[in-house]
Amino acid sequence: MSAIGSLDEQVPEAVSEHRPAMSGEKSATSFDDHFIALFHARFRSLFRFLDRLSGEAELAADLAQDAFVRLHERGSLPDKPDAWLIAVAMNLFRNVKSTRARRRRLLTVWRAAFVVADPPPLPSDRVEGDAPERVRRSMARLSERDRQLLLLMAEDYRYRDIAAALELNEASVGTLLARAKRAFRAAYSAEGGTWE
Amino acid sequence: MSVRHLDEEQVQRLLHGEMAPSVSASVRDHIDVCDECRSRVDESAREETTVRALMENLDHTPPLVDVRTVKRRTQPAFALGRWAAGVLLLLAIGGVAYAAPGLPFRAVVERLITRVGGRDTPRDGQARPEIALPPSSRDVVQGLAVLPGDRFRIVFSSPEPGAIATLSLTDGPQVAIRAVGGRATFTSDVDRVTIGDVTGGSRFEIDVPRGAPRVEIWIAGRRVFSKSASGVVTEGQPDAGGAYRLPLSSPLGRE
Repeated sequence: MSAIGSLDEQVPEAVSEHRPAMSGEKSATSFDDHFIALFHARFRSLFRFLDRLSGEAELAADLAQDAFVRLHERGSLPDKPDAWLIAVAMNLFRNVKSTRARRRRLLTVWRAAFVVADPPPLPSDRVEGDAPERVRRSMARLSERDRQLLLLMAEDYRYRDIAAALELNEASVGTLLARAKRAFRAAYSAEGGTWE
Repeated sequence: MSVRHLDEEQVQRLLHGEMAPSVSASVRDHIDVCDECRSRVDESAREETTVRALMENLDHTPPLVDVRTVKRRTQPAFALGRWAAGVLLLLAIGGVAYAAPGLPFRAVVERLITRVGGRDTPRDGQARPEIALPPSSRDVVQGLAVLPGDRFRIVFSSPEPGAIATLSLTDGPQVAIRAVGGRATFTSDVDRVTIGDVTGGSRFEIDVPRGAPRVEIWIAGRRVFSKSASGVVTEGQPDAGGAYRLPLSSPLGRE
């Protein structure tokens, strides 16, 4: 799936279903009520998922808000709102990553000519034993799919929403989750963590 | 009742309350009598508790965001303000880039002004050599050139009756797209250019670098041209000069 293009194009087919037209005062009110309820139920969870995924609280807050803004602009609820929000948020995050990578490429030459600074510390100089950092490094060792699976599981998303958001077969979500947990356990141990 | 041991999917579904109601009772009956499966479920539950606890190490304080703030962002006034801020930011960046010494931006702007304004005589009084343009460039109304990434797509948002795209493989680094003899809108994004609102029976000239890892052309959701390391895939045939002609009215390619 491409990380670019119009938003609807990026959302998996399973969640970019029909758009019932909103007509009349009653429908509009109903959407607004649902939107508010969904925001209260899912904003924090979506923020936490993005925060854990990106490691940047400020970015996660922006992306979570942007996802809800897109939903409000849409004017109607998708069949699977949770999956829709996750898919949109992940696409927004991918766009940010792509933009940053492109900017880094463009600026490298310019920066290299002007920045004189100490080189970054060698891996051996890093402070070990910092739990958040160890968990983050362990997560970084996982595949993107395993990372997303674990983070969505930790937010108690339903299997059908996980499957729709990550474009997986719902019947195998449990198996994939078990593998992701094992992979995380191995990665955490490799990073020197003790599994209790 | 005899039930097979639980597989991995069933163990996870049991943990997460995702077991189908039709099998839930029999699975629970089996767990009650099978030490091995019960042990696996318990071990999985412990593993998950540990994973969830470790994840909490990554958490930051959630922001206090009011739903009204989010809804306000969809109002036209906010969008207008954002556009205005974007334009101002672009102007500021352009100004800095123009003024900064050593950047090629100033030279590019001056060349553009010279070309558009026809100011051909440089300050030293000597005539500049004429820049060689493609034969069709006098007709060019719009176009752009971008560096393709690992995978670059040119997307025509809808079939364009009567329009033709001529593709040439070049040794240059950039994908160049020119709308000749008509009008079209170009929307660029990361690794993608979308072309729409084609009017006036436009002809498109597209230069595709041979060195680009992958360049594709899509019309209304169908891929009609693909160039990758393994070669060119399209139903359009190359002419004597090696250029491919693709009608934009009816997609040729595959999904």
